[in-house]
Amino acid sequence: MKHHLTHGDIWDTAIIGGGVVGSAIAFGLAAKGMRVVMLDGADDDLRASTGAFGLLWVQDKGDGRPEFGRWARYSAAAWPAFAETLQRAVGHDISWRQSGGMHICLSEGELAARAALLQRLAQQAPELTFDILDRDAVCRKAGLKPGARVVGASYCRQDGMVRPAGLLGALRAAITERGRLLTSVAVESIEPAPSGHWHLRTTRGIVAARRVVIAAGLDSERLSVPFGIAVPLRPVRGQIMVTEAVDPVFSVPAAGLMQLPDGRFVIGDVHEDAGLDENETMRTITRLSARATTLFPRLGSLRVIGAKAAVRAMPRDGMPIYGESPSHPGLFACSCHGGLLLAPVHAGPLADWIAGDGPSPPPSLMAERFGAPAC
Amino acid sequence: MLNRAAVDVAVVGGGPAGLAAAIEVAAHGLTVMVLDDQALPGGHSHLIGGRLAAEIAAAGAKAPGITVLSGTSVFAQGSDGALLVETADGNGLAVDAAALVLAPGAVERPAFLPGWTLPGVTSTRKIGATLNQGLLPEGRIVFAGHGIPLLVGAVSVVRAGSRPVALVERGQLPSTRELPWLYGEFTAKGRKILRCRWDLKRRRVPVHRLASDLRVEEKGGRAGGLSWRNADGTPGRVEAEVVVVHDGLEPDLTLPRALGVPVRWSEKAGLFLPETDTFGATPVAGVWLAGAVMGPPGGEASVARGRLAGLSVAHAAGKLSADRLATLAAPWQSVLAQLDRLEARLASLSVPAVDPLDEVVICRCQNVTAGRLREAASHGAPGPNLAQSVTGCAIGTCQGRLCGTRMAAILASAAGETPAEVGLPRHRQLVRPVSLALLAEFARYCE
Repeated sequence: MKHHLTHGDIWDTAIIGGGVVGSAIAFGLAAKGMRVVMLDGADDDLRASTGAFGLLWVQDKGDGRPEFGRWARYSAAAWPAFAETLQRAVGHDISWRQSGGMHICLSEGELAARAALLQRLAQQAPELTFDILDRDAVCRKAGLKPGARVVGASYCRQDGMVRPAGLLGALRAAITERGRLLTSVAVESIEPAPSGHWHLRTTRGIVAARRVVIAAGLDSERLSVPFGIAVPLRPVRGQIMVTEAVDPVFSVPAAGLMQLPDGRFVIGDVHEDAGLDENETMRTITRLSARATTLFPRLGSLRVIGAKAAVRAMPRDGMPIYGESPSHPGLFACSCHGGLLLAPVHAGPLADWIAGDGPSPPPSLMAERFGAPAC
Repeated sequence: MLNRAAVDVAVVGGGPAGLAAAIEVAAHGLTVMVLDDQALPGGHSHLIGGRLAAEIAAAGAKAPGITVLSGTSVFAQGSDGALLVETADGNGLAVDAAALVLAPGAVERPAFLPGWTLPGVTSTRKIGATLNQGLLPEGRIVFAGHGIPLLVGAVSVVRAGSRPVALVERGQLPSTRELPWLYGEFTAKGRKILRCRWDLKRRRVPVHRLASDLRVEEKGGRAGGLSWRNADGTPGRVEAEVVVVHDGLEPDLTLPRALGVPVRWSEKAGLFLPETDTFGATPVAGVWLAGAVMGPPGGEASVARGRLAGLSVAHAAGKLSADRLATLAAPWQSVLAQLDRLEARLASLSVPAVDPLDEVVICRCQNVTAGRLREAASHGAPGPNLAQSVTGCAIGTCQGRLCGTRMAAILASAAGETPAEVGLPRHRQLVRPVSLALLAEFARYCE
């Protein structure tokens, strides 16, 4: 029932946006004992988190961007404990696995480039275990015979996978229990209130909070810019296909191809320039199918059950954007691509920073790197 | 391998509506291809309209300008408007047509009783297909749920020489008590219903009307019987190895929605229905609908609707003047009006479905229960898209055909809204399962 909100409540923190970024932050703040309210949009709003593939990849993060690489690896290393915390909190299955991951290459050039990338990464991250696999090794790791064009793959033992819907559901369930989750709420504007807190004008009345976190994906810029935080994001469409369930055979996920614990294969992953069009296209579906059968011809007999597209938010330089308003402290904006991998670090150190008892994220991830936003 | 075909009109669905539409457009000089997924055309109408469908099938196959492709699966529309099809031999086919008539029919809705997913529970269509092959299922048979097909199914078993142990109706199917107006309607359908009733009475099949709390009982991991509460409050129970359930037909909206046809919730029908005019023309240029996909009634009404769609297509193609269209349409419109009146009277006897108990499986493909859906709603997923995302409901093999409406009803109840406000999840472009290999073959075509 959509009733209007009471004027009296002042929340510790209001988080605008119920995707994987907002939920992880809300979860972390609630775990610290804060009274949080998470404001989520309408059912048919654009939701980047529903387009997540499910890979928790470190092998391709941070090339030439050491702080981002460290941030991503910190999060990856924190996943086991995070998964356990979530399991204990709500008991939902999120199918997290540190499975290792392969990036399969279809030419010697691609494999050489991959090897060079790993070399550079090895310098920054001695704790990671990398390998360059030849065809036979790919075959052994996959459990399937690779197609003729497959020359090899880069492999990292610390890569993992999770079920995105499971994670989102678990976080939302936890927030419903420990805080408040309001849905079908559109935030029209944010206003500073006299006694140092904030008023959020929404379609369901006014929400008052001492701190505000804007984690609203593509809608973040609208709310952040008036307070001096630049959040340059562009829409990027992803498309994912899911097949029927078959006996588990594919033990290590590959970029754009993995098998879920229940036996279904998931195939993706594209980044398309399509504005806000969240419709699947046969062009991409057929192209992804051709790629899957090129990688492993035996997959050809699998029936695709469904395909789904989602419009995601890509920061201008691909790295997360975290910012606090220079003119109005207590107002934050957080956005990223790949919020699945970063969920533990968002629930941990980032939540600490927002709560005021932790350092800010590394400078190269801060919104200030884009300068003052053009108003 | 990828083949191509170009015709004036492509008809999806070879049941009474599709075949009727094909015959009509061919009569006006248009070339037409019928794409049907069954082994033989004629659709699902075995008793009601069965003979009719067979006549159409025979005539249609011989008529010039009509090609019927059986065993095909239309899985999507390409960006150039062509229908992308998997043919019976496993090859691909792209069908280019100026006009599309979609007659995919309706799916049989599960009865959503506790225990409906147990082995031994089946549907009236499956029983009908078994009986059509001259076979009788083993064991005692009970019919349960709501709708005329239950009556027809029970009678089919009687006519095959056996005797169902009971017919347990959630509502109240018309009986001899409704004799005056049923007979008064003077339609073949009304009379058939009465004959069915009489056959059951003669064979002493117990009929329980206005039953509630229906539940399939389990025995050794399979269906063991049915229990219910009678209208007077007394408990009822029968033992049976086969439980035939039916709770209505739902339009298969997946292809129409993928092509952009809008749908609306109809409180009267308790269904989401597509938007069309009286000839089946949709707001999408070049796309018509015909038959049970437009909502009840099906059967003979599908033939009339198919004919009307065919006439409208011919008119749009310049083969018919507006006057001639009106003249030719009149008899079919009158048949439809009569059947609509009967349907309205039957609907007045129907009883709205109750909200399923938490334990009942709603999405069979992904094993999502009503309770899980309600839990998702209470955890902030009150709408169909997010509920789907979080629970996995309606993204399995059936892509929501069986569970979409029920999911909307459950979410609506949980949120204090109407199904009209909740709606269906966003439509998807891929409407049928299709192999990766075949999709890969279409890659160059779809570039």
